[in-house]
Amino acid sequence: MVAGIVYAQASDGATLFALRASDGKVLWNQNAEGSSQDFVKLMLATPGIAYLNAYHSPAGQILARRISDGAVLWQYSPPSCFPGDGPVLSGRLYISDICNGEWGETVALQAETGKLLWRFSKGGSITATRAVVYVNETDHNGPGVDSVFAVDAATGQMLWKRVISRGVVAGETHIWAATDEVVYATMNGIWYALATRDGKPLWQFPRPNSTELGPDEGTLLHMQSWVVSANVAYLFNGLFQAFNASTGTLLWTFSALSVDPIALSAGIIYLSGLAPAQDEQAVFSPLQKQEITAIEAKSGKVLWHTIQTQQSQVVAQHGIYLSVATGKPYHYTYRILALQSATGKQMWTAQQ
Amino acid sequence: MFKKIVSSPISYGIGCLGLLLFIVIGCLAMLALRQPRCEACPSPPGSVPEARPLVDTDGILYSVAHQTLFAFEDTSGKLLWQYSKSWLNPTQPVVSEGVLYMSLTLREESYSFPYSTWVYAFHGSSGQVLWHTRIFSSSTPLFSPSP
Repeated sequence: MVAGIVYAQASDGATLFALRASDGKVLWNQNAEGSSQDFVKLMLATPGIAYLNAYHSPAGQILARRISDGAVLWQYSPPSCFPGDGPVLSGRLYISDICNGEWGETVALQAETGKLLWRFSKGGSITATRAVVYVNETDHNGPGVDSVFAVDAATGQMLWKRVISRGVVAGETHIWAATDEVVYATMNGIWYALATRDGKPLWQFPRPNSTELGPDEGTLLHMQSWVVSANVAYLFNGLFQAFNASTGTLLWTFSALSVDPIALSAGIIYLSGLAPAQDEQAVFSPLQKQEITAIEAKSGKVLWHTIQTQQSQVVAQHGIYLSVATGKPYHYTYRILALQSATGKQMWTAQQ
Repeated sequence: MFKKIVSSPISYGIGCLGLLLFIVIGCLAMLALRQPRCEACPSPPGSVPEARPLVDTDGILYSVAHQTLFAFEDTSGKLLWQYSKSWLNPTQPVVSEGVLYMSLTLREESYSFPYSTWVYAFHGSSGQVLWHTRIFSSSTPLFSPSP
């Protein structure tokens, strides 16, 4: 739902529909028109233009369609390649291609017209700021060489690059967030804050020659906005730790075997983790007990925790709401459990 | 005479063929009596949670379970409204400016295209269906791909 338009994908993924939110009228649709493997999806939408990524085996294309009438404004079809998803920033759309299973090149297109502004010879997942585009070229075939290229967003000129030989254990290089001054990246099992001007480390964790544990792959996926908004960087490596994002100073540590960050809301961090099974029956039960822990973001102090056989949850202004399941397979019953944010006390519960 | 017939190669062959036929018919009968396996069929109510709850800016909590969409007041838990339909695979609802949008697949009384994907718009505070639009029909209850 963007700017009064509801985008809905047909259940086979081959057609995308744009419906007017006020009355449900289908304004236009885009069909992949190919084999059952083909699909079309909404890459992003601005108030005036919808950018679609269509996969037609053996290639793909980006389509820019005017939202009001669905007119195709322009399309980008790299021969024999699939354009990946990319961001629009400062009127420019940045796309990297995938060709024969490997990264191709990166292009900057004028978002309104599709005019090619520049090409960069390397491709990868893209993180963009207004001034710099970061291209993260990873080797998906196991241990190999990953590269991070910093490219001038206006000209496509390379500003700096870092090439990393990845070890067997370390996960792929990943850029988590970027501000005007700092890029936060995981490279070869080490977490770096890199200076945007030259790519040199401002700080890193674990520190050189230390025995501290490095980051776990994939645990920072949802933390991009946290890093930028609060000037605090959070790292999970068996411990949940908060750092000053500018200096790397450790602020606090929360000890937990396995946690998944749910949300950061109103100064409280909510973590979810599998609760230890109490008996054999619990181990094999499809309803695993989850432990929800609320931590004060400023201090790392545990405010409260609860254990529920919960399925999903949402954090909102007044509290956290858990969908709790009980019963046996195919006979589950669900109830909503509403808990106060600061105390974890039950506000209300309702059967569904 | 009887011994001759039983032990002759022809009667032996007929016997084996009969036994084989008996096994085949038995297997077919068992298959026919079994409940048809339908991997794409909807899970019965109460089997799986259907969508993550969400809260809008007006303080309404929406939740989906047992093929029913519920709306609660988020501070009190008061049930505001509920909407039930025999849907197969609702997508995660989204809410914007007091309207909740949800895409779901329904079974239709059509031989050629018995499954349809619809988009529903609900007034958030009253539950009134503002509109519903069929966007797609298919012969199988397809599920969203993960490209």
